[in-house]
Amino acid sequence: MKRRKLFGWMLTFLASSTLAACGGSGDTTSDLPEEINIGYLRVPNDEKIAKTEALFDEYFAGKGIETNFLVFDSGVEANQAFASGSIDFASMGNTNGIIALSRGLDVELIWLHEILGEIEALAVRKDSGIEKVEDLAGKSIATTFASTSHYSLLQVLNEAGIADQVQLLDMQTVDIVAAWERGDIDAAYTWQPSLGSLLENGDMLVSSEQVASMGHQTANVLLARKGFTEQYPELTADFIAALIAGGNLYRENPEQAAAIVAAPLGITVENALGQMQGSIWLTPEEEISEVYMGTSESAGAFSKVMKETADFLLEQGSITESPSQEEFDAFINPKYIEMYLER
Amino acid sequence: MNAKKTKSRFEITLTFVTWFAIFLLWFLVTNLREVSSLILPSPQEVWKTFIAIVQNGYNNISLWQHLSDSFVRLFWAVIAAFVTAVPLGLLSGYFGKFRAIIDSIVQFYRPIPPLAYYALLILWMGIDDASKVTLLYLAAFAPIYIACVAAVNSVNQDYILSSRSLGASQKDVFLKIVLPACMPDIFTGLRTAMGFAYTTLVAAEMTAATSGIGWMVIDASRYLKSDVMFVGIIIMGITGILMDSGLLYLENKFIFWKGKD
Repeated sequence: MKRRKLFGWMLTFLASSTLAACGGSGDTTSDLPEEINIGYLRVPNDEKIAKTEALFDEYFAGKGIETNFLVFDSGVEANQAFASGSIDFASMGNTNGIIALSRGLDVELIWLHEILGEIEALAVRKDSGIEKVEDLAGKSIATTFASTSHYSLLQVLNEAGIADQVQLLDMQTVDIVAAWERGDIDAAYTWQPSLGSLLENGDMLVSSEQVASMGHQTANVLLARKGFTEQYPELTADFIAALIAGGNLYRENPEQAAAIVAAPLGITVENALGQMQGSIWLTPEEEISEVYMGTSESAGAFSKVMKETADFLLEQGSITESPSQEEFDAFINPKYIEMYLER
Repeated sequence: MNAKKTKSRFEITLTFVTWFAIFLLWFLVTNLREVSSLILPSPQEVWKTFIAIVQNGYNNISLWQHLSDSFVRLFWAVIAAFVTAVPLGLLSGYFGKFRAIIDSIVQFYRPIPPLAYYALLILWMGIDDASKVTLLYLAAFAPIYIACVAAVNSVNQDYILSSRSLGASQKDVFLKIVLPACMPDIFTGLRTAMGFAYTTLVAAEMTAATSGIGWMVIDASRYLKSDVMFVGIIIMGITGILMDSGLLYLENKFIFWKGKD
């Protein structure tokens, strides 16, 4: 009898403590956060310049805020970190931004790093005899699932009518290079700097620039945790300011910008410059134009691009529901760019 | 005798009560509190997803295909590990010189996490099943080998000396005394190996797989499909228990002398 009573008390304690843990609010309000956690991709963009040149420190170090940078291989890992509330900002392909919204993550899109061009492409072996997309029928193609490369590849295969005639292999960028070196794969759709390794003994069959001209635009975007942006709007605008400073550095002196990012990425300056020129970098004014993010009053065309992409991902079974156009309009928030421009 | 039976019945009840409490807690937390289904999907959602996967498969591949692909990889690896680790382990336990050669190699790679050398296996063996099976093989090999070495070392020396004095050859001693005495420990090693290999399955199916229960969990995690991840994890847990129970049943049936000195 005693044993049963003890067991009952243990169960009650376990249940109540778990419910209490789930219900407790972890938010503590203070003027400034002690640290900002930032997820970034290994790509030569405005964020990489800003990080390498310590441009973020100009805005945050003086305020006693520590900036922690975490490198992610793709937006998949960034979304997982957002889901656990571990990061405040993260760069990712817009497809992962769609996944974040469709799964109800409390995040918003606040900046477009770059519109993807030749920085992402479908590479084939030089000796493969593959000269057009249709030649890929019966071949194995590697890509990183849920990425912009994956989305672009699916669009290319669909356009060619061979989507069901190829074997798609899900791989991280480093594994794609390893499999390519061994000759295990016939083609791969990936991004720089991995793409550069493939093109050393391969050819570019289709780039994301061509995919965009087919009407399927992709971009690397910046997502931010709403809990952070709503509590610290000025700091969010500061973050945008650091990115703009990085972008300006590239526009003013592309060679210098390439030299800045080349070493940390482990690539040559020429390669870095080629990669940077392989995508479209937007000015803050272009960001909030109707062609891209639009303004707080009026949504831009990029919201429609996101919706079309989401519908395609739903069709593919990658996501279980496609957010509405209104949800995308609300998800893309140019407020912090506007705040920067008003300064 | 009666007390023992009552105790085991109480333990069985305790197990069921524990799992009932876990499910009840899960149900309450997800239904009474504002918990995002992304963080913790409800039992109803997970059940609904399970039914959908059973009916329609995942990623155009049936659940049974996912399971069979994983188990083919798993069983090939464990069989290969058993066939190689048992003789090597017994020989290492029996002959010091043999042990000096093999043991250090096993002890060297055993603590290394499989993911640490998986990239190398892909480089050496390619992205097909060979690298996946090899990874699982390496995970399964060490527990069987170590169990065999330990088993030989724990054989009652009196039995060996008695048989020798009665004129038994080295071969007879090995086959009729050492091997039967080691079988219970070998089976325990096999059960441990199966568990080790199964825990490595997700890692093995991370790269370039297009099917498998581990791959299903990985793919679902890419798209934040927590309900699918739960389904995959629960299936892996249940099938793991079933496999272990199967091995335990075989052990009790065929190693009937276990525990009898």
